[in-house]
Amino acid sequence: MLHERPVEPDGWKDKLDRLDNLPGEPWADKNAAWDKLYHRLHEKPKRKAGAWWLAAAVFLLLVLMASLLLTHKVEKTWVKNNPLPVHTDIPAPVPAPVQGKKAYPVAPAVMAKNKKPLPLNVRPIDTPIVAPVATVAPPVKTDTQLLANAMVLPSPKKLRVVHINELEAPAGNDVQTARQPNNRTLHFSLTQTEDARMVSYETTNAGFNPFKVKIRAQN
Amino acid sequence: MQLFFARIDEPSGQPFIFYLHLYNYKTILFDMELPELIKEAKQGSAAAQKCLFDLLANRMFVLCRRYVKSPENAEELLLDGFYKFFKGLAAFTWEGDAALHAWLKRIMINECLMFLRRKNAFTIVTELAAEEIALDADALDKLSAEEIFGLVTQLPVGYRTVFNLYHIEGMNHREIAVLLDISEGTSKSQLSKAKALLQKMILQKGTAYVTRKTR
Repeated sequence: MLHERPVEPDGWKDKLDRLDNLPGEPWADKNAAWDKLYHRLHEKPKRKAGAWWLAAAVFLLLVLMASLLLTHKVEKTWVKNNPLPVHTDIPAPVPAPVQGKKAYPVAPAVMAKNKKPLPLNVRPIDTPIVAPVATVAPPVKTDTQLLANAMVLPSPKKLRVVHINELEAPAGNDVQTARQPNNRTLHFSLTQTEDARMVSYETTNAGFNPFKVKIRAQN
Repeated sequence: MQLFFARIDEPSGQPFIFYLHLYNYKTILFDMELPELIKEAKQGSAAAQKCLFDLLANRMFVLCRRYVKSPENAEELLLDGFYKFFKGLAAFTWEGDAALHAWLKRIMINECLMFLRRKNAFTIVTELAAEEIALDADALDKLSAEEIFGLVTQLPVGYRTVFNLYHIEGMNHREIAVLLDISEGTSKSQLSKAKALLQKMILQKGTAYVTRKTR
């Protein structure tokens, strides 16, 4: 780009271009200027502090994650060893409907009972007042309670459903006998009348001591 | 061109020891040609870099002073320019003294123009091209280089920059317009005003060698 325009061979331009020294203003300290330049040229590149900050951040993150994992494990073990009681759902209190300064609905029954002229801000309605269901927040179980319920509660014992006829063959039509563990025999006899059923209970242990229970239809 | 790194020949030998201590010179440069010096400097030799600095710094300092009035700022710009010169020396291929000087001059001029832009020195209002004034070269030839330098540095920054770029560096108005982000007309107008002011100053000095031309 330089010297694209042909420069006229002017003496004054050459003189000015080749001027090396300014007689009135000697350069203060050329060696000091070189010293500055030398240090700029040959200074060792500074280690980047950013790498150290990054390493420190990663280390801190790892420590934080490890501590969080350990805490979580300890909490799990504690919950296993200390089962929480079964959580019962307590319904949250229903908040009272907000009454503003604007007209609010009043049931006709209330209006009839009062028999007074309604204030200006009251208007009668036909539909019953329904509590704002949407405002009732469902009870929320905490994570710890859910975890306790899931982990601590024993699985329900499975009961086998057996028909009564499969238990034992009846001794008679109306008498059932069951064997007790101490060789006592219980005899149940069933007597049905028009209005009640009589169940007699006999034992062979200490003589005959019938104990009769009357079961009426009203019972 | 031959360079003599003659500090070792001094009677006390102190300067050589001083440099050896400070800059860890590995090579002692005697009678070295400029291409060899450039080659050494490319390889990072501080001695060669110092020799180049000693050789070229004075002229470049005067160049910076033509654009920037303050000697302190000129020195800073000179160091910035030499820093870029040495850092970019690896990509430089030797094509002669003139090419080296032109490249270094260009670096220095760019540094000066960037400095002036940072200082918002160019508050040049867009102007139409004014009538061109021709300076009588004889009048200027009769002045010494120092006198011409003194006159040029008295010009306002806009005039001075355009005058330097046009007359001393040999750029045309289009190049100047691109470089300073002004229109060609503004460049021409600034140059005319610079010449008029210079003429006035020469007249004040008692040398009336200026003729006027109209385009």
